[in-house]
Amino acid sequence: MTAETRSAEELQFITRKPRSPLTDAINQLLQNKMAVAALIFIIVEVIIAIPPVTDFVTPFPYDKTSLYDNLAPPGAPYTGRDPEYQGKIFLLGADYLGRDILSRTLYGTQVSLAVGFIGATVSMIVGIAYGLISGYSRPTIDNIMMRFVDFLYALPILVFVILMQVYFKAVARQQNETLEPLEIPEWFIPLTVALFVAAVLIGFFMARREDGGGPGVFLAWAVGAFVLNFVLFIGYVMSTGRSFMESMIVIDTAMGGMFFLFVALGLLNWLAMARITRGQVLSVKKKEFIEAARSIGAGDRRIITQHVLPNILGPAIVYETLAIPGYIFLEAFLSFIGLGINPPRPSWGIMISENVPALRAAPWTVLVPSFALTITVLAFNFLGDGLRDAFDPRMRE
Amino acid sequence: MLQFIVRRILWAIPVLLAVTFFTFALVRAIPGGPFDFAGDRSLPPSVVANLEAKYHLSDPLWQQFCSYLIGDTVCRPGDDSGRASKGVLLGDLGPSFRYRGRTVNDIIATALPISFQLGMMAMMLGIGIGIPFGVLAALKHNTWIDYSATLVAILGVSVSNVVLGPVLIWFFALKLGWFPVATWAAEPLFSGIADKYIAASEQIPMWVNIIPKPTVDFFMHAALPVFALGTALSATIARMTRGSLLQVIREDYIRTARSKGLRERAVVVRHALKNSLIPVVTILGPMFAGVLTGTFVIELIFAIPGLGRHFVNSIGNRDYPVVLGTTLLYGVAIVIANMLVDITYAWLDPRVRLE
Repeated sequence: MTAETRSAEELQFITRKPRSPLTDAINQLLQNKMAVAALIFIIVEVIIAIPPVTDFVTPFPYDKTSLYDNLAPPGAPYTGRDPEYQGKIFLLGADYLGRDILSRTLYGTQVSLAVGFIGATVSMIVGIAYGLISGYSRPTIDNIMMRFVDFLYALPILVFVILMQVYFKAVARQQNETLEPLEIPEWFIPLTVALFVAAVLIGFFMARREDGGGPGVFLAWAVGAFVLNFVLFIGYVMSTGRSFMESMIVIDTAMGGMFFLFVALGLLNWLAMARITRGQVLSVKKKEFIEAARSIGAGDRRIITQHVLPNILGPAIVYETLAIPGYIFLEAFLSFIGLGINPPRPSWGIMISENVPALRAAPWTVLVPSFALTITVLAFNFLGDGLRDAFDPRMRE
Repeated sequence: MLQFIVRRILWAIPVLLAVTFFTFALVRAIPGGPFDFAGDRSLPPSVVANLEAKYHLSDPLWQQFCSYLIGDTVCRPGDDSGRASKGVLLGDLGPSFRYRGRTVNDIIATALPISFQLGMMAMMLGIGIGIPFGVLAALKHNTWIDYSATLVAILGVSVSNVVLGPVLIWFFALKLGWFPVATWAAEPLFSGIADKYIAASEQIPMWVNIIPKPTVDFFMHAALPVFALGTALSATIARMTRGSLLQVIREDYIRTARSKGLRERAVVVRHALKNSLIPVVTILGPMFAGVLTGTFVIELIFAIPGLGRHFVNSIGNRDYPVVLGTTLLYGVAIVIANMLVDITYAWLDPRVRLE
């Protein structure tokens, strides 16, 4: 064994595979107890919110009324005539129509989490795409695109969200009298889920390949799958002979009024994301390693997925996690003033607003959804804070 | 600096025009008209047609928009109804469709002072609690004071006012009975002037209503709604102040200030605090918008007859001029608030002006 090879072996022993910033951040996050507890809580909530699981864990359907049991106190037994529910108790009481508060609160999880995650995803996709295009364009176009963002920033956005929701609701109510409700075939949802999982898996393995890797590739595949699913879904509805606006309306009705909420949320909350992305693009573009990458023949696509996207990923995740409470609050607010989910679907905002008149006689009808809303948002705030500290190297050591 | 201010004002003009245009278009696109129903009964078509003609709703849309913006005298030459509107640019927001005989200006003159008092007190509560506690937490970094302040603050930002309003009413008004459950009890401070207008049965001008008489009754009624609206604000400000002060305190110039022998108080107040408030100022703009929308919820829950309640109700009533007028008012308020924030920002951080 010659001296050279031995030193090479020693070197191999000393050096280790370089850890990516992402792995570092995850390790950092796992040391933050509150953030881990929040993450576990959110995961449990997500599992509960999966529709078959919700149906399984809730004692009553969300729209099961029992007029004998209106405003039943917590722990009261079911006294209705329906044989299917004999012997069940209202663990957390019942509302003014005798609907189980616990079941309705658990169903409300579906709405709040869907609004939070989909609002974050849509605004992230739109914002990152806009920011990338703006940052990569010629300065004139970049300038125009950013002035447009500044302009939107100055508008009273929430007032417009309210007006848009009124518009969507009124159009939907008017058209629903003539439109047939949407029927989704049984094979459709498993198909889309399978497509999405497949794309995410492909993205995962592409990202781990020797040369073409990086979280950017993974992100691109996941986003692509999301957009593809969305387009497929709309395409399917339109293929049944409905116009675009009619398709939107039947989809919204089938989702209980959530779809337009997503559109309004996503369209109006991408501005900050676009600014963050553009800033990253501009700062990364000037770095030496980009020049080096270019000089060995890397194209724009490779630079974006390998260098730009991974650099955006941290700030984007932190920003969107901390933005989720805002989306959840907005849904609660809109539902509270009657512009959110369509009754009888429960959402925490609707439950609070429809039970406030019974506050004196039956405070639990308001306190239970209030508690659920607060604790969920608290979990997202703890997780967001933990992520921010984890991705910020200055907070280390 | 002057150039910067002028530029900001010029920038506000297209924004306000766009707000007017989009709101007008959106409100008119909503199906269902203001005269579809009178109470529970629907009106005969001929009556609806007459009413629509009276309020010029049968004109082409562009003409209605033009009338709304710059007045009937320009856009409807030859109008002899005697009710020619002067247009928004001259401050005439038109008549209300639902409250017959009242103009939008009247409605705003009675409702805005109430919302203004509510919002202002909440902002004052937010700043008055948020900044001191944020500073305290940062100065006592990693002590029990810091930990408990941080915990209370994160709880505060996690409570929506949709939640806090009912919970406060339940606990403090219904269980303990310390505060009244609802409504607002503001009397004008200059009640003499207000009485004169009432005696002449005229609309009391807005400035008379805006300053409340500081009676016990007023504060008892205001306590719960202001607290419900201000908690999230103070928590947000406290978090922001703490984070930014912690960052500033590690800067080199703070070490320089300390090492040249300045007293700790001078270091904190003159060097650290001023710089750490820069990011805090930037969130005051969005916060102001948050207060405005927070008043919608709080006014509904506490049955306060403010502008937010009028806004939400007028959308349901398709009372176009009230929707437009209130939206425009919110738009103007947000644009002005953002402008003030930008100017303060530029004053605190001269680098901004050069952009």
